Amino acid sequence: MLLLCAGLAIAVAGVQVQLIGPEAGMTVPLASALISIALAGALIALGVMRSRAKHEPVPGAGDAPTGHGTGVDPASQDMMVFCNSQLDDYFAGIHGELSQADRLVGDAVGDLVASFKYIGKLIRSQQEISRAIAQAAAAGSGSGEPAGRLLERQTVIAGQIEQEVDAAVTSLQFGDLVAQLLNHTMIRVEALGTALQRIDRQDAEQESGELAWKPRRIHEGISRAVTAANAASRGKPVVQHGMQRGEVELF
Amino acid sequence: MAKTILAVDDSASIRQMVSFTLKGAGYDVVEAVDGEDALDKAKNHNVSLVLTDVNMPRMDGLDLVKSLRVLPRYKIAPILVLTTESSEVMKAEGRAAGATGWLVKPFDPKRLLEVVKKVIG
Repeated sequence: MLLLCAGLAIAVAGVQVQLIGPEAGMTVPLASALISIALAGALIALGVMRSRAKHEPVPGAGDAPTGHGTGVDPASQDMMVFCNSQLDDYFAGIHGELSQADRLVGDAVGDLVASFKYIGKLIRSQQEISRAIAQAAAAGSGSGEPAGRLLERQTVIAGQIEQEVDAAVTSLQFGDLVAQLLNHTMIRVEALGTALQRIDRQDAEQESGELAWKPRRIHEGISRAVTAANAASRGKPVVQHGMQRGEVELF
Repeated sequence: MAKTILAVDDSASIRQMVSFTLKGAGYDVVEAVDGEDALDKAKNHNVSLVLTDVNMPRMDGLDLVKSLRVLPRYKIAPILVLTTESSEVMKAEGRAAGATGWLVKPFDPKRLLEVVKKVIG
């Protein structure tokens, strides 16, 4: 449980730092690094939770009537399978959201790097044309490329720069998309934690003094926690998997 | 005189991108951080167009649209929704609330300006 809490703490802290990052004008590589830390922390937490849920020793299993030759009655085994399947789905959902955030960041950073490189190249072309215009003016007409053609090329390059700046503006919106996505993931992780703690407390009160720690009740508790956590986290607000421009619809 | 657009989003980066785009095209931009802030600013400015996000603290975008439509000044004013949400259910809710159009993030500046010009000239 300590490992679990530590993993979750890393995840939540990482997510919170990231959420502050881009909104405060942080540079893209730094924000990206923080997101990676958040994702790594969350994935550690999820891995530990999955592992513990599946391999937790089940004291008291021998108390139950035997079934399937494992010392666990069939109803308890069914409950365990159901519980594990619910947990798998829940964590797969969280894993999917974190992977989606990772893809969005990667996509945006890739696009931004490409845009800035291209803008740099266009600006150098602009400077060369400006020099050529100045040389043509100094040498008088008739020498080199005609000034009219040079000006035309300059206008084309200006248009290309504008297009690249627009593309960069589209890519720079990744901060908002990723922040919303990670916020939703954080709600899901916290909701499960809260639901598990509540059930743990209820069980402790009910069992006061008893030694019996029945596996079926544990799995029922986890199942209830997953259901409660699912109910607590509303639908995913971000469906985008890349930074391509969104659709427009006028009513 | 330049027309004023009210840009509503809890994300500072999106507000900056929207302002950068609209100001570059000659519009005045008033920014608001959520629905309540926007409602306040809409009452105090002569706004030609409202461009709002949906998921925001205190008052969300759809409640803002409904609240604005009650005000005589904004009964027919264009209100565009700019959001990450793209489900048909959400769009239908936006339409029912009185939104003029639905733009899904990330927005393309050129396309945004085309839409803005179309609704307010």
